[in-house]
Amino acid sequence: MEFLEGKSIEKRRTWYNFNMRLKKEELFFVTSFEQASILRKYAILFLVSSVIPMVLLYYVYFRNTYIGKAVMILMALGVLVGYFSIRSLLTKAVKIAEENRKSIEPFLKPEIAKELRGKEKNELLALNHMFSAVTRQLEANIEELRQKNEELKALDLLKDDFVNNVSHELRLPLTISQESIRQVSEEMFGKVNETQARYLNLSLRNIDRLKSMIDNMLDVSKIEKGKLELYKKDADLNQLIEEVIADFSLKIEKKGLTIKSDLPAQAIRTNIDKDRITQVLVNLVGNACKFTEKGQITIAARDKGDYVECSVEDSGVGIHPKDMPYLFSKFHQIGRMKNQQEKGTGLGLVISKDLIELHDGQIRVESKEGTGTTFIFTLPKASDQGGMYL
Amino acid sequence: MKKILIIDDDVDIIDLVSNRLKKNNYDVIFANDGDNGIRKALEHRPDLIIIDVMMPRLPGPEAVKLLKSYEQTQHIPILFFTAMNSYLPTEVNEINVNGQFYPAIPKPFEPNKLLASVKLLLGEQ
Repeated sequence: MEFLEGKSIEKRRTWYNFNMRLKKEELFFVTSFEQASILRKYAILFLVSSVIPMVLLYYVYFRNTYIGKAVMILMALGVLVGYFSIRSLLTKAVKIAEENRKSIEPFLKPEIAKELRGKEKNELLALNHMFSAVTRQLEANIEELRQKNEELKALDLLKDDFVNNVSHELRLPLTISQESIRQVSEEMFGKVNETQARYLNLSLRNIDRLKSMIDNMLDVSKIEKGKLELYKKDADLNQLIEEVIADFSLKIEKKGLTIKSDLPAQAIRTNIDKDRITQVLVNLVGNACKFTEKGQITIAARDKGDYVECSVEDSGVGIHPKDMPYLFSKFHQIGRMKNQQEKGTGLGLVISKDLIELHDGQIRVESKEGTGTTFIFTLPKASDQGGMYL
Repeated sequence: MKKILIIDDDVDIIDLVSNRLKKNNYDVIFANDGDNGIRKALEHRPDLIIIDVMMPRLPGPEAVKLLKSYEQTQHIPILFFTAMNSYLPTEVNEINVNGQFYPAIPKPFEPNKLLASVKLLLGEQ
């Protein structure tokens, strides 16, 4: 809150304590206020109703009797006691008002504080003023916060647009660099020696990484704005999995790993956006490959009646329990492995989760450190089960 | 040798695409904007025109409208180059000009995709 900016810790603490005390004393505060106002009203009645009969009685009956004089004195004493008790109750209320005024004064805008000072002479007015001053201060604060909120919202929109535009602007120069290096490394302009080829490849690999980072960032920004649309069609999940395996087989063989599928003999008919589910599988298999040194990666799919369950299992290093809660959060990368050539963007799993959820599915992970990791997700089945599958 | 005209305001793109095409035994001519492109098309009568969608002054689709209005150039197949595919929900595969659909490939191009499209349009496949 801006009105606390620059205030000492002491003052912030006082503000906090004041708030806490206000809560605790609210009841008493309100009661005293009510008592004071009721008594004030009755005080006049009390005076009028006691003094008039006293005077009348004195003149009509008791003017010359001792009893009359004694009654008079007793009555006068009663009036005095009444007056003082009212007085003390009112004073108590005023004391609280004054105390509260002092404790909130440092946090009020100067003009409001000034207005409030000196008003405590008239007890009830002081209470009234304090309440309205606090209310006005709160209104001012709320307005301030509302404005800040508007500013932040506008800033957030600007940030989204910025990410979007920058990403698009980055793509073209990146593609041009990529194609130039590719043409050189394909020896279109003459022989390239082994070392040169190695560095050209390094360059190409990193351009690829940068491109996928931009794509991921665009995806995240689209998903966050709710602008990512799915193009769902009936598709055979078996076929899609086999395609992903074919794409990865070379890379996986190079690493000395094996990849296999565990699929039912019949086609699994799902209603999905093929490109997006391929993206999810590529993400998961890519991760599995990255974190597995030996053994195998298995993609499995099962028809579960109402839905389809698909899993990607590896025999890799597994995930540390400490990393589990952050697995699906933005830019969180779990422990890098030594000599790891590929570095991720920290967005793959976030996007995968969002894409599965856009398909009304769920994704979860089971992992044991040192044994391996399995990502399991569900997908919707094709709506028309009777039709011909194309 | 088949002749291909590239119309793009980005000289780097022209450079890289011509390399690819020349390497695959095509004769390449180019223009940096729509007006020059039309002039060159009328002059050289290419077998295929590759044209960028977003260009200053005369955008690709407008230039294609003009090319289709001349008797000398209306038969030439058109391939659009588009950098705006990522603004759109999915990859753009065709562009509509006056109700006629022309094939398009995204500008962050894959060389194989480009060559395949070129061959297809030239009837070499």
